[in-house]
Amino acid sequence: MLEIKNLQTRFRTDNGEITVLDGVSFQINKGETIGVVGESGCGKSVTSLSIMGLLPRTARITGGEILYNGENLVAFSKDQMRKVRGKEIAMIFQEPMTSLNPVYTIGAQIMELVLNHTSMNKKQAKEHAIQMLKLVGIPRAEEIVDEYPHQLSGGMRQRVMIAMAMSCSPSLLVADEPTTALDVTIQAQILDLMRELQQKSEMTIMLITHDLGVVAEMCDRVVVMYAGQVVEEAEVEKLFATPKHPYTVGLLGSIPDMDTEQEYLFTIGGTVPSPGQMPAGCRFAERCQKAFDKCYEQAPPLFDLNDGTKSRCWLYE
Amino acid sequence: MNLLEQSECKPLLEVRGLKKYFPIRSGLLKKVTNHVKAVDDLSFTVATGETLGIVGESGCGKSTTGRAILRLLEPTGGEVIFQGENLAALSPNEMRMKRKDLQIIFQDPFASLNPRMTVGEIIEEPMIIFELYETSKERKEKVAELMQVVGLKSENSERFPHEFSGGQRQRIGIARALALNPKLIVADEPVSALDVSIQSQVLNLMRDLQKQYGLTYIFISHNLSVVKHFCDRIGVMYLGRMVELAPKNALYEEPLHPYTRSLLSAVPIAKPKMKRERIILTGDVPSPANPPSGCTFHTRCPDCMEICKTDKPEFQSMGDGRYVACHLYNQ
Repeated sequence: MLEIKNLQTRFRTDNGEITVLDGVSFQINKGETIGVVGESGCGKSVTSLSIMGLLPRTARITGGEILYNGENLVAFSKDQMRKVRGKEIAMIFQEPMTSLNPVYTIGAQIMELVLNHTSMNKKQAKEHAIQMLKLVGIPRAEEIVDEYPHQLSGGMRQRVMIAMAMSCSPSLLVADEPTTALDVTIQAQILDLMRELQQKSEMTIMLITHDLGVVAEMCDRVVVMYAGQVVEEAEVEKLFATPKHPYTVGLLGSIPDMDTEQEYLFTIGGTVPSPGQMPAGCRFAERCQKAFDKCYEQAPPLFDLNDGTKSRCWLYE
Repeated sequence: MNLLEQSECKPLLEVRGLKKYFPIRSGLLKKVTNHVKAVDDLSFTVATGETLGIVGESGCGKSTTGRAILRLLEPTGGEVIFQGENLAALSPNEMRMKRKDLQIIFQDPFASLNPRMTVGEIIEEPMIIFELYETSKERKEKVAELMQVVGLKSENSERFPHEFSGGQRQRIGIARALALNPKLIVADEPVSALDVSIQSQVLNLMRDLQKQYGLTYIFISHNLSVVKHFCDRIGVMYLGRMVELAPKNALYEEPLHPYTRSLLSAVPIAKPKMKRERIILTGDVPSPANPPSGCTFHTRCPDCMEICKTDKPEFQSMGDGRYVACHLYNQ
């Protein structure tokens, strides 16, 4: 349904342009939940903003294609993009506090979207907004629709964000760390809600997160990103059972396991290279225990291992 | 070594009935109309060399507890007995001298380091205040040693905090806390702002330091898997009260309080397709300014009984070092 091909996104900085996404490719199939994981600065959020056409002014896409049902979104004009955004592809953000407009009522914010994208009149739009709020499990929806975001708790605001994103029945929902700012018991409620809505509407979800627990519970397929590149792609069970890339292995080893006693956790030594100073070879080589000479000299391509798994590592040449 | 027995015979720290209320002022004259009971009647002990975890969701009072113990926030009531001395009754000056033994590591390594001081100065400052060493040379040597201990290059001591990554900054915060050879360190969400691969580095470092210096930790966190990994005993807080306290394995294998049960079942586990029963709580945490009557959890509790709506449950011992505040265990 959505195919990202060799996407390159660059940011202007005081020290010249830096490449933040370098050749990101993966595809999203209809009806699935795909997880994009990685640590801060790996480019997972920039990928989602590139898809949505919401990159900041200092950034631009310098190469590659984003094909949505066969059409290249990168080549779309602002007007064309505005028609896709919200209607075809909707997004929910990490911070429900900052992504709602504080001076408009919740109803007005949902209605704006509906009035722009559908032929509903104001009265119908308000009715629809109330319905959407009920759908995401907000109590007293008829009253809440006329209230302001600050009157709601964090979990409720995230529900409003989801109601808003769902209001034009998008076919793809991009969720960028939707539960990171929430407490675990509220997170469980929101994840449950997303699963339920997906079953009802056969929506496709791209879930961006740093929490491997959330990935394990929600996703069908996973893309692991490191330093602006995809380093591994696999079905969720394969990824957790037999991770291929040394970075994925390290990442999985670093999370404390609730079922076993370990005195010390596995660690990946060192830190991520900064975007301006990427090494010539593999970007993970400096921190990799399995690195050999070739890793420092030549950048590995994303090898296809023929079972739906891909790994950017010379070990799989 | 049985930590439990140890905790009962010689606690390093004993907290008795600790309270911290924040006044709510309203009206023209800013009269105190109500209180937010951030910490309400908390009692527990911490044994020498152990790690006590305190978990709970935002607003449950876990950070306030840590700060009230160190008197970074003045407690409203209760006693904090550290090595036989009630910290809550000390004068501000006496308390300041005590802080040599009680240090804190903060959550946000970006906000807790002075951006205008070099890393060396940050780590050296406590030694100057407590006049630990005679000469500047001795202090500088100690700074270099501490930086190496926490895994930083000592030649970087002239750099400023902004030149370091999040994980490195947390290491600086740890080195500063260690500078006075403290006995107890309150670690308030020390790894919450860090990525998983950096989080594991910092946790391993904290464990090494505990062994090396015989440190005692109070480890405050909202992350239940990190707490399980790192702590010996764990206290679960809800709306300013401790609802359950138990050795970690007992707590995770057989949680007694309904809140602990639902909290544990809500944690996403990095094992796909693992079947387990999940208890999803309805609603949000009530406001601590206006907590529900009786047991504060009764509004969300799946096992709520009539008595829970009216009577506050006692924090009672269940044997084996376990404590729980719930009417289910009152028979």
